[in-house]
Amino acid sequence: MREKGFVNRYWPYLFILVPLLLQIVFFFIPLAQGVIYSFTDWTGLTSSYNFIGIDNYLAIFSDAKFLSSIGFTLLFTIGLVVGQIVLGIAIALLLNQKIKGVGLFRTAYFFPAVISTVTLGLIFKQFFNYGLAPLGEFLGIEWLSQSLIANEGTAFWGLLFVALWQGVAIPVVIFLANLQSIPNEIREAASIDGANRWQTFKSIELPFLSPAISIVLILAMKAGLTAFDLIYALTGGGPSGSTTSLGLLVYNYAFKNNQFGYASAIAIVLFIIIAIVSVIQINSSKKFEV
Amino acid sequence: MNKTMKLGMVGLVASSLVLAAGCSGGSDSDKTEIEFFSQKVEMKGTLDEIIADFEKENPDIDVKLTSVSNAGTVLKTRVAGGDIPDIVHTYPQNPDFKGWAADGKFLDLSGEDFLSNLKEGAAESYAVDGGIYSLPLNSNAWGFFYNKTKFEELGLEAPKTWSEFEDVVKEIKDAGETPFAAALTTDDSWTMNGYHQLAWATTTGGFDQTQDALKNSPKDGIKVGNEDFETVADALSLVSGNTQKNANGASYSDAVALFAREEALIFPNGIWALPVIRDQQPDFEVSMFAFPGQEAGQEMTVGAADLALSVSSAGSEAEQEASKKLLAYMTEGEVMQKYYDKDGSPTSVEAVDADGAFEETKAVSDLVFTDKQIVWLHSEWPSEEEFWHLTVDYMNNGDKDQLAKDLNAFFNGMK
Repeated sequence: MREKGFVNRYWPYLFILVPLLLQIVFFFIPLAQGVIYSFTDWTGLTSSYNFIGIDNYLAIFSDAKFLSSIGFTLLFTIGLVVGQIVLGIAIALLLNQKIKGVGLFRTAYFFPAVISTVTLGLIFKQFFNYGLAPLGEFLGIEWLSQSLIANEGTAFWGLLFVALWQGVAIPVVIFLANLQSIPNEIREAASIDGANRWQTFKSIELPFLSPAISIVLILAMKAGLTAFDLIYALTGGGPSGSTTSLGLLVYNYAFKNNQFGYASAIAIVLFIIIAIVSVIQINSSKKFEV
Repeated sequence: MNKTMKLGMVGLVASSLVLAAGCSGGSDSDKTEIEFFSQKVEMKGTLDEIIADFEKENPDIDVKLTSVSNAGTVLKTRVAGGDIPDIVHTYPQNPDFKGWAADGKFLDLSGEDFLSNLKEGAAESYAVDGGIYSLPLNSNAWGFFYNKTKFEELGLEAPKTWSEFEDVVKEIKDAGETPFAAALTTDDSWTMNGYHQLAWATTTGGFDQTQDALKNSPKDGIKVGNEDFETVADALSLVSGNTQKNANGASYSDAVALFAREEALIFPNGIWALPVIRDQQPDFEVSMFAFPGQEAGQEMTVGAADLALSVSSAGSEAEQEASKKLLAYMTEGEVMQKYYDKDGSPTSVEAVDADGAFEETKAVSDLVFTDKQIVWLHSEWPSEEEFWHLTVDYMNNGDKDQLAKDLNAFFNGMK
């Protein structure tokens, strides 16, 4: 057995080689190209471009569109995180009751997760304009009598509503699974000790849910910071650019305005922001590990 | 796992890599295969017919028609990746085409015999650096569709001046009808592009004057209080409040359907919308009027090549020859007639008989190829979409200061 051949010795590396190659070709090379393009004035149309140093990066911070987009993206992310956690836990608690037809309710709340986001956007676009608006008019509610996503003041909330309508489904499943893993003895002990519903939630359920909360936090944050498809289908970034997320802004600059180099620079900034947030998040969530 | 199996795995992985690399190999028939990339999904059926006829006449050429949705983005991505279709349907007034042409992506067609089948100057007007890189077969144009039957019932006539237009809108409203069918969402803001461009062109006097007022003026030079700016803003305001309810959430197809259902009497759009309006089989007579100027006779339209074909310079000699053959074929009277009869855009092919086929759009299409047509203003801008957005934003919120600010933000980048 001492005579190990070349293949015998190295064959496990083969399994690493394939995913590594794919990772390099489809991730690291484009990433490196993106960084290079961000220092150029490339339009995305022709093969020629000039290196312009850090001009793109300097321009970003005086770009009103970028600033309003970053504001929107942050608010949207906070809305998504808070909404998914609070609503997710609330719905999971309700679905954890012993009630009739609980299977039906669980299915109903999970259903939005299986619809394609773009389809969802197109459905809600019609619903807001032709379903909800006439209802608002009938009831005499002024802010509801025109499409929620067509009005600068309400577009954010309309968008967040649709994002949560779909986005809360997966967190509910995660929280529900976690709630069901809490040993019954602990609840029983608490009830013998005379704990009320709120105390049970605060001192037993919530601590048990903390790993789930940390997962949902990561997922929601990622979904919020990189939001694109729903916004693209629902509002296209309007009205007056008030719902343009950073992802959509990058797309618009690259493919609509023919400023590929500048768009790459924004994408790199977005990448750095997400990297920083992730590091902070991973470090702080270690505290909640069970 | 024994050694044979491991060796087998190595072989499998290696051969799959080779296979993946070899997938792009071509067929080995002696036919010349060329790809025709079209950006007009609605004309796919007609182009299929034309290509089938062409292949019958040229059995040694096989044409593959590519017609995908979101064609503009697909084309940009393909060209950037070096995968240029043999024949590309381009919009030669657009900055992307100009960039590609200057970069040598397309063949220079100057001197080709088939250019003489076009109206004089048609191809030359899209020359880039003196070379002709596209064959413009027809032109689109922009104006107002209106419900002629209803207009007659209300005793109204198509307006010839801007003040008549304002009166017409007011009278429609007084009669309890809705004047405009519009789609004022960011997504479909392109529908009002022609409106805004013509508002400037009719106010300043034409293409060059408008570029001077917008693109060539000093930085932050577009100001509230400026006479031309105020006139244009007022023209845009005519739409505000005179559309169907919830126009700010409506899509292009919503607006078309609304007009066809007679729920609004005027539909501002390009003549390309006629086939979709006809598809809805309206129960009334559809007609058009051009964007009126301050005085009669000053009406204008805006438009540029709608179907223009370019040949990739990356193809083999045989592919380039086959592609040019198809271009020459498209300039033949009978061939283009087939396209015209369905599409209705005024064509630059001399031999096409255009009499009486499209009475609905006549008032606008008659202006094409005359001095009352300007080429789309964005032919001199690096991009256009933000211009669309700020147009509908203003129609929705009526904020003049914001309009001036947005226009400056858009044009400052070009100054």
